[in-house]
Amino acid sequence: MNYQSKRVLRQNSVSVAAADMATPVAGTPQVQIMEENKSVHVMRQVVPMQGGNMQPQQQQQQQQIQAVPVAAGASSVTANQQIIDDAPVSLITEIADIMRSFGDSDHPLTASVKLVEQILQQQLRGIFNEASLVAMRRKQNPCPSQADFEFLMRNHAVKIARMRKHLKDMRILKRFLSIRTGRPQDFIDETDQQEEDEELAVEVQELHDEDRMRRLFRADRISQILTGQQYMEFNEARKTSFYCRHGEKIKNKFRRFLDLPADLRIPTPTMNILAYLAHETIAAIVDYSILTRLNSSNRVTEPYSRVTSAGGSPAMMHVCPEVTQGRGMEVVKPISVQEIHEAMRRFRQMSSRKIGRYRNSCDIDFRRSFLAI
Amino acid sequence: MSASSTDNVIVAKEALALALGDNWETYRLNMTHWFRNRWTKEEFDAASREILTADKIHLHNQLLLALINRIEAVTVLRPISSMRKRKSSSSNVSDLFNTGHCFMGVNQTAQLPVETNCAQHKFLPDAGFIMGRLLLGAWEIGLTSVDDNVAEYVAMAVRQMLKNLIAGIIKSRKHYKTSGDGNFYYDVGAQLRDPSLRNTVTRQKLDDAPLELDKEQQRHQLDNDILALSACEQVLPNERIVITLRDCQDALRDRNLIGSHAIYSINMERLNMMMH
Repeated sequence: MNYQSKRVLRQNSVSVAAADMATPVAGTPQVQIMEENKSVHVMRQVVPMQGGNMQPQQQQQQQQIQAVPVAAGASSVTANQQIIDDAPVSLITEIADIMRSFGDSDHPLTASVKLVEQILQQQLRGIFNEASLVAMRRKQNPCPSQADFEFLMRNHAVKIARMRKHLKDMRILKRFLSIRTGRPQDFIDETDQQEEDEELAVEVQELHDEDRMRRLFRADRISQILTGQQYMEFNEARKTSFYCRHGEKIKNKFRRFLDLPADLRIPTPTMNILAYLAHETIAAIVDYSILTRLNSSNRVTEPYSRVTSAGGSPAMMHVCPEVTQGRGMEVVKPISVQEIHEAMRRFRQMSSRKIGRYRNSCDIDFRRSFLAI
Repeated sequence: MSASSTDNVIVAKEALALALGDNWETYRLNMTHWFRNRWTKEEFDAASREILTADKIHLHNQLLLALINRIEAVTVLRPISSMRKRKSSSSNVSDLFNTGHCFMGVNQTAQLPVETNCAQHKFLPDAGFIMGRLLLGAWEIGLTSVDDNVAEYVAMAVRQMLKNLIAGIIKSRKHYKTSGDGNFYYDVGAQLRDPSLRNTVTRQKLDDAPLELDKEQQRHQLDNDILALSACEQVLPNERIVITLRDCQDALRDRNLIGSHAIYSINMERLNMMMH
């Protein structure tokens, strides 16, 4: 029950589509409000000011309001009913695997995985919402593309570089796989897309990506202490992803998990970016949770201590304390719920740093920051 | 279990309110005073005795019993986990049972936890502790009842706020590292390495720019030389500083620690008065 309260601690993000004010208020009673365990969504065409107050009176589930084009009137409500009839999608196994691949222990705690799932859903929907707003301003079509996501990350060139590198690698991998399986139509599609994407924005230099180095280093350290069988499992876990390759299976499951509006046609590249952001979010959560373990009792090393041949000890320890401290066969501890809570608290406390000391994070125009962006 | 205990509380309260009629407001006010530790148990008893006649005493006892059950239900349901910063558990609350009997006219030893001051006893409130005050507050504005989640939520919010404040105070005194493009801090209290001393032992980042080493010095193996290694470490000892009220005042100038201006202003005034 603790993780329920976590969701409400964030600000409710209500996006008022000012352009859609023309639709009459009678549209709102048609909205279905279902109390599901995890996925609660309210589809509205218009968000009138008085109708928007219905939101906070619901239970502690967080509501997301998407600005859906006015043309998709009744179809959105019927599609809404279709989604509600299905059972709530849970990605517990995939998320457990991904957490393991980023540094958690072999068997992540169920409570932690559920909490991460909730956080992930909230974060991704928030990112999607923000990107949709940007897309609306840019081209009057609320379906975000890569340029919109990059706009959100514009202050951090490192993150943009990381995302681009990831997408480029995925494209190369996909082309490689499609050559092997002999499906020429995929091969032809890819080249067109690649040219379009590389014309975007400015070219960034190769910057030092601290987070990525930390994750790679941690994966390396973990793989050094695993046995053969464990390493096979670790490898399998690292392959788990939400990336939409040839099939539609993962795409639908992921989409249902996120509760995106059904009438909005989201192309595959955008879904791939969302999958990448999901990975980034989980990686950030795991990173921060492990870093919160560092405290005054386990950070001291004697000057003459050497860990292994991997290099100088003081620098390495701050990268992943629990693995470097154990000289050899110490098992990685599973991440607990309290560590995740502490990590999110620290993240939230630092996110108000940019607005200075004298402005309040409870203001209307405070743009909340996300883990992956 | 919690649903039935909720109903018991509501039923008992309704019955008593009906029986008391106009005096319900006075009774409720007395109970508020008691819960906020302005009155002791005896004063509450004395005040209630003026309102309650003999036939209403059993209703009063019934309400108190229902309240005890409700609070116990909330404290039992919540899993007692071993969080670092949490300073208390429900066992502390049960230690605080006041010595007087809370039932009038009946010789029972069941007791309600008196809502004492947190600062006085130096522990954090937990859900059961807050539940009593929440119920009273709800009745004051006309609501029927309070969910279990709410008390737990409020307790968690108290912990979060306290952690934010303490972290804000400590961060202004000690070094820390940031990561995630400035969105996360960790390793508070780490020592600051001498920036003019750069070698493979003291490097902080994994992938620093390559160090230009003099050809002469490359013969000198740093890892094997104990004396050189100890020179790379911290030379001055860590001094432990006591956190004073002044530090608290400075840290609270960051308005993001306490969001609401009403609470902030009242408490800053108190703090400034305490400084004199």
